[in-house]
Amino acid sequence: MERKRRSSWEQFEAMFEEMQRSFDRMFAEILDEVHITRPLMDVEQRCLEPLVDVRETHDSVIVTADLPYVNRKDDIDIRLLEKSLEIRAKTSKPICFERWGTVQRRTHFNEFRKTVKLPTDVDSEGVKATFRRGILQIVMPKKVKKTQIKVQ
Amino acid sequence: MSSAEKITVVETAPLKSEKPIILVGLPDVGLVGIISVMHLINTLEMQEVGYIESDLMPPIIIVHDNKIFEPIRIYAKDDLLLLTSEIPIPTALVKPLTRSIIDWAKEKKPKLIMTLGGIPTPNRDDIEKPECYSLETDDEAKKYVENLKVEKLTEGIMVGPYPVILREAQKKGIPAVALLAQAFDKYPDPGAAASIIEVLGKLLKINVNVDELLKSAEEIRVRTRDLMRRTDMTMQQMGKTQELEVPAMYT
Repeated sequence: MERKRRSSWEQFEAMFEEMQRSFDRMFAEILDEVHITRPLMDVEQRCLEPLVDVRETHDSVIVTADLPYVNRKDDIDIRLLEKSLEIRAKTSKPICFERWGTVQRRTHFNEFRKTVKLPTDVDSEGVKATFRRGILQIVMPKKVKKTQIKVQ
Repeated sequence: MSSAEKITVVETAPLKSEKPIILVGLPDVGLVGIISVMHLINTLEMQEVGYIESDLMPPIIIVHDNKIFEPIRIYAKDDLLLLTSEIPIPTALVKPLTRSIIDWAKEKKPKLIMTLGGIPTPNRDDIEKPECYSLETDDEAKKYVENLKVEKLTEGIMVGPYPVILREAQKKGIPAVALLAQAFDKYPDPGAAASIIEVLGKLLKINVNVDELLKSAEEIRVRTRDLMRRTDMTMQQMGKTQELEVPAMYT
């Protein structure tokens, strides 16, 4: 009886976790939708949002970011958080274009900033970052528990 | 199509071109087409001669130098015509718009229609100078590219406005070429545009310097981020990732 009750509780927990994951995904999608209505810049913070790409291989999550006007890898700050990756990069000079919108051209942007939601848990050990031709690439191994199954 | 949904090519200046070459640069992979045609418009000092009008278009105007422009415009200089768009072409508009453009183009009796774009290349950041590839609709079109030293696109899948332009041109008997450079698919790629322009220079027998384009590459990458993001979303709706796949037919 005790075992059955625990089993039901475990089922409920699993169901609750799945619901939680569904809500997380739904909110992430809604936030992405909201986000697309905004331009890729924050005038108040004087920072630009870089274009990023997130893709998965069977054993890693790869995030790339386009960082024009960033010349030195020392100007790039990457923080791996629990479920996300924070990228900040200082530009080599303040960015402002004469032929820009009325709001933007009154601002000098000094930094790229972006928080990227990760599609799965990653292992902070073994994360590698490279910066070449203005493209930042961060390769993060997925946190997976592997069990080998022998073919009978 | 009802009259309210009609797509019209409006000419705002007389087109004196005889048997023109028509270049098409639309938002696509790495914005290669857009970046290429913008450089050509500026360098060759091409003049705006028309635009596309349709109730199917999003309610958008573009403002440059305190003047109002339609997002899809036509430019001309001598026997060169150029069609470009400052917005991604909405999926629902691709086929009707393309048919209208090809109907209009046929009236101009063009020698050639050439679309300018990029091929998504996963290892693009390893490539110093992107290579160009071509796909032609007929033997006449092949003659224009045979001496340009570009690789042939022999197998693959193309998605978006460009393949529709090629197919419609082929059906109407207009020679057409897709010129594609290896490119970042999700990031604006001025380097790929420079490769396209160098090939075009040989085709058109004009000298278009790409040094200025490459010098302003970082500025272009910053300025076109929003268009790239919107283009990427539109491309995803069209199933653009199929371009990384291989066709199933093997015989």
